[in-house]
Amino acid sequence: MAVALRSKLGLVVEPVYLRKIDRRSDWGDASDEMFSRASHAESAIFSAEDTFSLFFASTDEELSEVVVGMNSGRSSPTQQIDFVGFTQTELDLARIRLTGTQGDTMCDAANSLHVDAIPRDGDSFRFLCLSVFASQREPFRISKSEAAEMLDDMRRRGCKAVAQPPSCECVK
Amino acid sequence: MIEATTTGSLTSLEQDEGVERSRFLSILRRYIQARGEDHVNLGRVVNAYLKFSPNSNQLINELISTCVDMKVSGRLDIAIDILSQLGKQICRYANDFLINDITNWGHRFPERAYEPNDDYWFILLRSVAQSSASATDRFGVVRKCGKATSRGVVEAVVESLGDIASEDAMTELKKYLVHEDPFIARLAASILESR
Repeated sequence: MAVALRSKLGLVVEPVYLRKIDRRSDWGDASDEMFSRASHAESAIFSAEDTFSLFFASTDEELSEVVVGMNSGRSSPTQQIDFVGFTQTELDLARIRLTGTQGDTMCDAANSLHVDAIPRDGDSFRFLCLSVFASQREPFRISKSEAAEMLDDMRRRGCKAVAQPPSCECVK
Repeated sequence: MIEATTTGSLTSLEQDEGVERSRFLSILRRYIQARGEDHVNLGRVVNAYLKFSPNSNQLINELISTCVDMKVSGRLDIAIDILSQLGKQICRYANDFLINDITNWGHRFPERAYEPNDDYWFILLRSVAQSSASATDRFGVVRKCGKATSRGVVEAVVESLGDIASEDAMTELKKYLVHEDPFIARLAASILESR
């Protein structure tokens, strides 16, 4: 498995909760003024929903499950995906509560890694953005070739989202 | 062809267009909310509307506008997945839209510089770039937007050049390594590194 979660995340050495972002500029850039960057990111990524979806990942296998699950149902199963990762500590400090709920991808293993994140304060998301900016951790990209590698891996594992016939344990 | 009335009431043709638009939007909303097999199957119906409707340009605009205004994660991908399957049709639409958007803006806001909708252009350019049209056609559309000043549109151009990945596109992409916006320069570098 060449796509390593740890190397993608850089500084982080603990499990993370992954949020897919629609486009890289939604998260802004380290060269942007921090507070206007936080306002933009909060508005672009979090303002739409009261509760937002995250996927927990602590291993490379779980990262593959999330990527393949999120790409299931798309026009190509090897689409690139941009993620931003949050640590448990950052979510706690931002007063964001996590509740385990089933995801709605075509991969059961990915669905079991899904959580709903619920803010307790009006400025929870803004605080979360500022915490991650302060850590200097940037979003990371799963490229098409990495997504293809993950797809092959999940096919070998018999994932029902991509393998015919499915044989993975999570199908039971 | 039915001629327009002088009474202010809708012509049959306009009524038909209105019905078609309503049906399309209803299916589009179901497609956006559906998951799994239902999502895939409804995507085929949406695609058929866009390919075969006599008002396909209007429906393409409806689809992009709906996804731009939606408040859900993945809204841009939803539109790109559908529109990129239109091949040359989406290239033609993008070419026409570029001219019309600038012209319409000039009529509405004659004293303001053109301010494109970032999300609209992100969807349109990446749909073109990921389509099955020839690399030359795709590159031609994307390059026309290369002089944009908005970060969002330049981001769309850079990502689209990476999608096209032809020799011309890669040569053009390298020019963005020295872009004045560090975000754009870093994005171009990361795309080139992943090749």
